[in-house]
Amino acid sequence: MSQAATTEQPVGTPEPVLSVGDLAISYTSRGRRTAAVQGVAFSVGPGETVALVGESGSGKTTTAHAIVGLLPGSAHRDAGAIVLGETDIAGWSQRRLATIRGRHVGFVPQDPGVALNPVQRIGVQVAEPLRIHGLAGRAEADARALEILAQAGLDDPEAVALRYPHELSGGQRQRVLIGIALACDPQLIIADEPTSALDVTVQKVVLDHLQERTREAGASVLLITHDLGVAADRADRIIVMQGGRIVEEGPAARVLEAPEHEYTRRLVAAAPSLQSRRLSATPGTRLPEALSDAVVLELAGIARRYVSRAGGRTREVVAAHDVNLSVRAGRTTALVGASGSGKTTVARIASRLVEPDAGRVLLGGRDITTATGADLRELRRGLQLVYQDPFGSLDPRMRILDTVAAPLRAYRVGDRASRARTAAGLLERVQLPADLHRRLPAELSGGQRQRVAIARALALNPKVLILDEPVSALDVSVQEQLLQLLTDLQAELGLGYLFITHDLAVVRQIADEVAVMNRGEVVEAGTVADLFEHPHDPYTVELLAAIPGRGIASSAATG
Amino acid sequence: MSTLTATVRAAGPAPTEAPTASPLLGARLRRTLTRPGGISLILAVAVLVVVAAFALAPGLFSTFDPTATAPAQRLQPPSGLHLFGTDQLGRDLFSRVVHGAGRTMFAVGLAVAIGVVFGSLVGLVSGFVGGRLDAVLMRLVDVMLAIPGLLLAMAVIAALGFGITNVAIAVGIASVASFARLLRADVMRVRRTPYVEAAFAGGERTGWVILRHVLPNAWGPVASLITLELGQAVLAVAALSFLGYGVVPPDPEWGSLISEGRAYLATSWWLTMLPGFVVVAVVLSANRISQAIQRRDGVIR
Repeated sequence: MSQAATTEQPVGTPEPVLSVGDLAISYTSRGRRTAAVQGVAFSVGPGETVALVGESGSGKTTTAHAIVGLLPGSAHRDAGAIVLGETDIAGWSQRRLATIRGRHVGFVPQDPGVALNPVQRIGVQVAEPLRIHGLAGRAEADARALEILAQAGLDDPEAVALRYPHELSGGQRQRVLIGIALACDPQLIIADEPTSALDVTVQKVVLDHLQERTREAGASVLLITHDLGVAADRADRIIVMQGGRIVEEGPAARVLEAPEHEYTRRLVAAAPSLQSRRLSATPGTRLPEALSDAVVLELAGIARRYVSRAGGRTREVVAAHDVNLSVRAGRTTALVGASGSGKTTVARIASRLVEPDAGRVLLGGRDITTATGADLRELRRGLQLVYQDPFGSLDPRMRILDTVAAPLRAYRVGDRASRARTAAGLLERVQLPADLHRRLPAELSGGQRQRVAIARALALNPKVLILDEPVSALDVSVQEQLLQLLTDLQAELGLGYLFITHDLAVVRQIADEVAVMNRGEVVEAGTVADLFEHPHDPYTVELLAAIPGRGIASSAATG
Repeated sequence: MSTLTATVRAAGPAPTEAPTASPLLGARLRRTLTRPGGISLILAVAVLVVVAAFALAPGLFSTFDPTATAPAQRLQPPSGLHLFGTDQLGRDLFSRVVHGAGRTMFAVGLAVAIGVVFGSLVGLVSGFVGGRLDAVLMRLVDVMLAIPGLLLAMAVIAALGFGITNVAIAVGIASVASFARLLRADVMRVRRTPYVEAAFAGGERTGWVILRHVLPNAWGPVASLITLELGQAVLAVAALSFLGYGVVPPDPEWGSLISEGRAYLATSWWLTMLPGFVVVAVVLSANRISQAIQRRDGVIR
């Protein structure tokens, strides 16, 4: 099937590979029933790639799971048809569904870290679907497994086949999973957020691979993603879901360039990968009179090595080597890099949670590298941290107001009542309503929790906030609101931000200066505009190329 | 099964949704009753409530003086008048069981309290400080765990002397190791969570972090072990009293009641069997409640 034929495939061809009609699914929890998917109908033509886009809770994953019969026990299909080829499989038993899973529908799961059996060799797992569906005998399946691994672009497939999942990287594991999904030449591949657990550069490689392999095999793809940029790059058609319903559907370019539905417009506006401008403070934000841009945090020649002893061998990992960075008041310095590049180590050294082997950390011109005890505690007031995971960084048994007031208590600021007032004021400042004060973290959404974490970090009037991937665990629209909040707070309070992220798209929205880290070294640093327009280092170029949705962004900017 | 519902709930689409407020007691009771195993749980709670009432106000339940002898009424089988029958001196066995509950429960409470307090202290320090101290403390715990609990308790009694309080202390010391080991594991887990690091980064002092963040979040499994140990301690205290380390006659105590009745087992079965059933009922009830707490914690997590 050629590329031209796929893109010209009109909507609703006579014989779609998959057609879903009027699907309705609900979850039952504690005797209450919640509709997750309602009246969803769409089809996927032969050789077509369709992206199902939406935020968490939109029902996109539930829809995908319903198609392969992988819904959890608490879910129930209330209505609807799922027609695969010409057969309605909606009412099928698990036993019957097992005969089509893998054989006719391939599934690429979300998290390659947990989708492979950790105690079985890769080769066995790749050969398994072939043998289960009776397509090959033992010897033949093993031989085919090697072929599949070779096609998956893994060097030395014989060696890979003998390895265990933990010996492969995330990207390699996802390639293996794509190989498994395609092993029996299914007509349809369902990929559920296949790359959201991977680094951007790896993401691009894996998606390229998926696209190439499915095209070769002539398979259709149903791509579930929260990232409009990914959908823009990969899909022929885009289906946008919100609150369990389809709100918009159409050719990818049309949906992104001329979105019809209000929600799609908001999604497109919020998608970081489609943005190209620095956010500015909301009009009406109270600005301080004298805006200084003095250097508030400086890292000079930071170095740190880790020694790991694995399997009797000692291995030395350079997490940071001669890293120099500075953060100015009222400005944002972004530190960008893939996982393992050392950016988190640098953030932890800056916040004095990890000791550097060499180099100095200067806070407001004072060397804090050797501060200990009472001095360190006093210095910490000026430098606070916001963590990546809003689910882990709040004490699950502490009420929101107490969590925000905790640093005030630690420094004996005011009395109990005044601390509660200050905390309430901070929560108002991060736009959380007062009725959340008595709640526990588990009763809040991810975005709300991250707001609580920011309020806590602001409690002591710090000069610098170190933000370690503060938005990467959140939905795009929540992400945008949070970035706007951070921008407003920065303008209002003259805060300096050290913003750690793997996502260059976010950098464009929030940062003034940026440093790119690779293998423990800063390979390039400069203003955001310079770096995006004239990248010098090959690694930066690669990172920039990996941002999904670049084509759309430029056409949207010109059009 | 509950683990499955937990994962499903965690993966559910609406994390913003607030759990409903604690329903009225009646509704909650009804829900517990209709759940599988709900009746046994309510029964277990009822048994412990009754025993606690025995211990607190024995006069309300006993119909006879537990130490008053009546030679004419000796070795009567259970009847409407003497629920559990009478012993070789004509004393009402039911009254003796009711009055014995206080002593047994005091010993059990003291034993568990000693286990919890010292065990938690060791576990907390070991898990939080880590390193060499942890290694040393945990090897000591290994040694304690290597010796059977009852044997250890007997060794301690041999050193402390006889008496119900010493029995309690001995049983308590024997259970320190399991509390320490259990809490240590969870303290180590919580110690590494981002919110504990965030608390330190926010300038909170170590003692406060331990008290407000680490302990409440590591405490769950200990709560279920307390009920489990409660059952174990009833058994251990009764066993040590049975062996004659506990109370001085004629004071009633469950273990000693069973022991005294042993001589008449062939002719008067109720003297050993009925106090024995009470002990079994309490132990099973404690285990059932412990299981329920474990399940609930599994769901929360």
